[in-house]
Amino acid sequence: MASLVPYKGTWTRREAAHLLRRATFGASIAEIDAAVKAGLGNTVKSLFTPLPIPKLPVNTADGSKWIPDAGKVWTTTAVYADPNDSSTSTAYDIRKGAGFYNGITKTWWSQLMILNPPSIQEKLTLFWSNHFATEISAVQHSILSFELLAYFRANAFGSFKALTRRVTFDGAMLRYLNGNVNTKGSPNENYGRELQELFTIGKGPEISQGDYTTYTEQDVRAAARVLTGWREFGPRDLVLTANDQDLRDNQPKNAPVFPDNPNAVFVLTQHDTGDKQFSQRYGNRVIKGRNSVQGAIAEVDELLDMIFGQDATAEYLVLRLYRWFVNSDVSDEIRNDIIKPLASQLRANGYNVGPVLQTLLSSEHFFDAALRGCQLRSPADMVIGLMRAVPGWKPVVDPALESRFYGGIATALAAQQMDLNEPASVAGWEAYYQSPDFYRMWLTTATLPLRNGFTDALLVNNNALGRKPILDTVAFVKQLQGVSDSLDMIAQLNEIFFAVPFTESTTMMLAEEVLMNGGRYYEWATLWNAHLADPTKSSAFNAVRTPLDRLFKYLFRMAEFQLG
Amino acid sequence: MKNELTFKGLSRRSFITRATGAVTLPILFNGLPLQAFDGPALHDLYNVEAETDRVLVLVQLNGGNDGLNTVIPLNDYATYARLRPNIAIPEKSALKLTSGAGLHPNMKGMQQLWDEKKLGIIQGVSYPNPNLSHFRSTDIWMSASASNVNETTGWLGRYLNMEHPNYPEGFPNATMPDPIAIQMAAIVGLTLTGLENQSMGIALQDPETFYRLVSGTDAPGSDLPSTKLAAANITYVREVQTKSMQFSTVIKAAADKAKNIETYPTGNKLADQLKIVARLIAGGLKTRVYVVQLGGFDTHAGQTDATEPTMGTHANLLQQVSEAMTTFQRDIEKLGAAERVVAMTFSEFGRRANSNESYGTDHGTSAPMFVLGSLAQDGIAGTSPNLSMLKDGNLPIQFDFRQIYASILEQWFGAKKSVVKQVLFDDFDSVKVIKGQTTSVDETPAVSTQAFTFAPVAPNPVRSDATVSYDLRSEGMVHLNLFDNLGLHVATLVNEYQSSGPHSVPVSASPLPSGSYVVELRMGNERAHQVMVVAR
Repeated sequence: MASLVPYKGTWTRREAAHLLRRATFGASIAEIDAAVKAGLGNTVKSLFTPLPIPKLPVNTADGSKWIPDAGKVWTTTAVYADPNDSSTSTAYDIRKGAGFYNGITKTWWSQLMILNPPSIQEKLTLFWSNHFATEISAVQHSILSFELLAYFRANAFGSFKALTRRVTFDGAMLRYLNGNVNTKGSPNENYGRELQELFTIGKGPEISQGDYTTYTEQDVRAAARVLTGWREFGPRDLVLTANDQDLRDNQPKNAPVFPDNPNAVFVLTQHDTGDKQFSQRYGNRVIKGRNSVQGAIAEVDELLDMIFGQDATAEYLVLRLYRWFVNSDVSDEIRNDIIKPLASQLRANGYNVGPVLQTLLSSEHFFDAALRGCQLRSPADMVIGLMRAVPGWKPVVDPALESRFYGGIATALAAQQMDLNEPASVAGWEAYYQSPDFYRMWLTTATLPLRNGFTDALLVNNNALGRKPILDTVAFVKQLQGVSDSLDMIAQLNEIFFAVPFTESTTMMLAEEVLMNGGRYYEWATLWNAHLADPTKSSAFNAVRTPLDRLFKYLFRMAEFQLG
Repeated sequence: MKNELTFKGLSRRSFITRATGAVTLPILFNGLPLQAFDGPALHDLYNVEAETDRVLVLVQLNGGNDGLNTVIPLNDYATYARLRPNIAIPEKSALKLTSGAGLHPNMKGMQQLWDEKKLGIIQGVSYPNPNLSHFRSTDIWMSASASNVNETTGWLGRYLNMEHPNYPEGFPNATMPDPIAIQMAAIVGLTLTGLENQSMGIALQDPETFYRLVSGTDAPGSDLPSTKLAAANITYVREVQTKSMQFSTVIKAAADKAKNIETYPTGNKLADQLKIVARLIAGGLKTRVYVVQLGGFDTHAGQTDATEPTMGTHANLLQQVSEAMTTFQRDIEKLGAAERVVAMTFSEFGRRANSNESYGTDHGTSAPMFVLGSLAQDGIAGTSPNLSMLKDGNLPIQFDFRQIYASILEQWFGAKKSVVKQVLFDDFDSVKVIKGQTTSVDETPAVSTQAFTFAPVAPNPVRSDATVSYDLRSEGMVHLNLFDNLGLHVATLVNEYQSSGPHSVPVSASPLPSGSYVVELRMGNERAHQVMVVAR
């Protein structure tokens, strides 16, 4: 029976690495060893310590600021920045286009994921950006997309309900799901539908036409009417076209209404003030139409109260979290023993996800040996995880080279089909909902070779690192003990990098056929000891580096390595 | 004995015109209306084996393509313009195909293909109880399930799996050295998921990169951990590794062998994919199915420009579709593969008949599909949508998409009807989507009556000359006539008094259009029929 009882079993590198692989993207040997020393409880607690608020990304070309201060908006048409004079660069340059600034955001985000201390916050930020999916290229407004992302990061283990409320009034979401054109007399159902189908209560089986068990088509229409009248503040200023003139002129009349969220404005004349009748799925609830800003906010809050008053909503989110952190297969047993209790906990603590995740990540079920390796690594687990696992590399001090380096990370993620803030659709990445393949969606004949290309490149001299490789294999294994025993070294590498142990024959194969290139496993000791005896001697160094490079390249190409 | 075919002065062109517009005469074939024996029935009758050199290119338009602004209902333009006043394509801008239908003005290439009789349009395709969720409806189209059934395998995956039962075990092999299906993407979709949930296709983005990255991969290992889930995942990854390695060389070889002759438009993601598909087909891959896709059709807002309804997001998308598919067709023609390839479009649903105020359209139901190729049945199946028969703003359904799938499987791949039923879980009436019947036809039994034995036409199908044979039990007046599949009399083969014993009548099929025909032998009150399939 699957159980949420706190895990009390063995606590070694293997278990610590498992926790860090799932709750973060991956960990260095030092981080794994620190977790072993701290114990499970303290490690989990530390993972939920809020990260420092990151510095805002700037225009990497000239260092200019393009995101307004918190709670503020750019109120004038963006200033054109003179790239040769950073003092003139005070705003978003509309001529560069959203793609330019979105690229900066992705680079900045990749860098945070790699450099931040071990924390679940980054992995949850990615989770929320996938759960409340907006395609950054469809939003076409880099400031709004950035601010939503910043909100996800700041509230990553906060209240799911508060997140939903913010998303409902968020400028990027209003653009992405057409809330900004959802008006009285011409409702646009896009957000009203996805709010229920994908973001909160989830779609159950369609038991009769238009009745999805948890909600109905009537509820989609009624929700759309509740949500009429909201639009984003001033975006058209920033992507100005001739047709936008009228809206821009209207802008001073529509002041922001949320101090912490300046992007939403309310246009009373576009709000449907009639009563909204919901179906029997919501107890035939009627939301009274109102005729003011505060009234319209109250309508949305009643809508969210109604949705969050249903048990299905907590269960839906827990299911999404479970698939993100644990496993895609959810049997009746898992539903009863894990999902439902966690959903009760989520409701009981006001929809705060942090405590629920702590319960899950500390549980017997999470450490169940049968579930090890049930995930396949996502591109972020692969790319970010490896960058985090490898210590010691450092980009040379050159902003252009540095941004190209981290931009390359974002590009690698995109090529492997995890373009940041750019899921395939509003449902997010397919790996987290597409049955029966789930995580396998990440790995195809097109993306697996790209992963090989990425891991191979770790061993190649990199310009941004001053012509050094990201992974110095000799330095890496020096973090281990007893390296002269090739079998023991491989076993330790297995604990750190792999979800499941190698069989004896695989370990032997790796030692003899790969590391020693056809020699005997014990011959490694001679090579290693010769290097230790004279670490500066280049022939002895090369004699261990070549076999180690060969071993690491092979390890990263093994099917076993793809297990998350 | 000399028998000359007389065609009553019909040219091939006028024959087609007449055949598609004529009133059907009730001719019975062994007691059933003859029309029932067209297409699938004929194939089933003849126990047709699959054609293996035919290629289907499936073009997915993600997001729900707006059918009404793609094929504009000129039959009822006033209602159309009233339903969507802010986004209606002006009547005079539509590229007129028939009096009732016109293409979006950005689809000039497709219009040319229409003029060349290489474009078929199937109107009003959807399914009962349509689902308005992108994800669910996409799954329904890909799996070909009923809308209330969650099916985890794909329609082409099931079909290709039945053709290649043990896949991937024992593949590639001498008869199928190449990937069975290729999706030009990073991910293989549900469409190609086979009966054991294995993908029947591989994902491919660019042959050169694929080859470069895969080369140097060692053979995957064989031992597995004891935990079941991990073992299953490792086995899966190893399969992907093996497939990449196996196919990287053949794919690169095929891509290297053929060069595109046409120049494809740039900045067009569909064209980028079709460009590679053309090379792989012409380079000799035996791959049966290619899946390509273009996204962005979810036009809730800004579907058209506010001031110019012929411009905007949707106009750009349709231009990309038209230019990409037209260039592909031209390329395939020049590369000499036109008779082997058809392309078919689909989208998870059409859009609401009435527009919204944000110059967009919300999720709807039925929409047209395109079938394109030298052997695609040209013309329009069904009628322009009846705009006065809307249900909740949605267009009525004319064809179930599974009918179109059944038609492609039967008429293009020559699948047996029994196989099609297994693939699609039910019988679906087929629609003519492919010209003629060019598959091989096996022996059918001879028909015996009290007056004669009537042997099957040989060879069948016939490309130029065939022989009709029969054995008379006694002498008498013999009438041997050829009818087309609508029951129209095409030719008199014999009309004379003949002796008892065997007779053979040569038939020249050269002047006949491709299609199925019926030869009727009559002596006194005794009649019997044999089907003759003309194929080129």
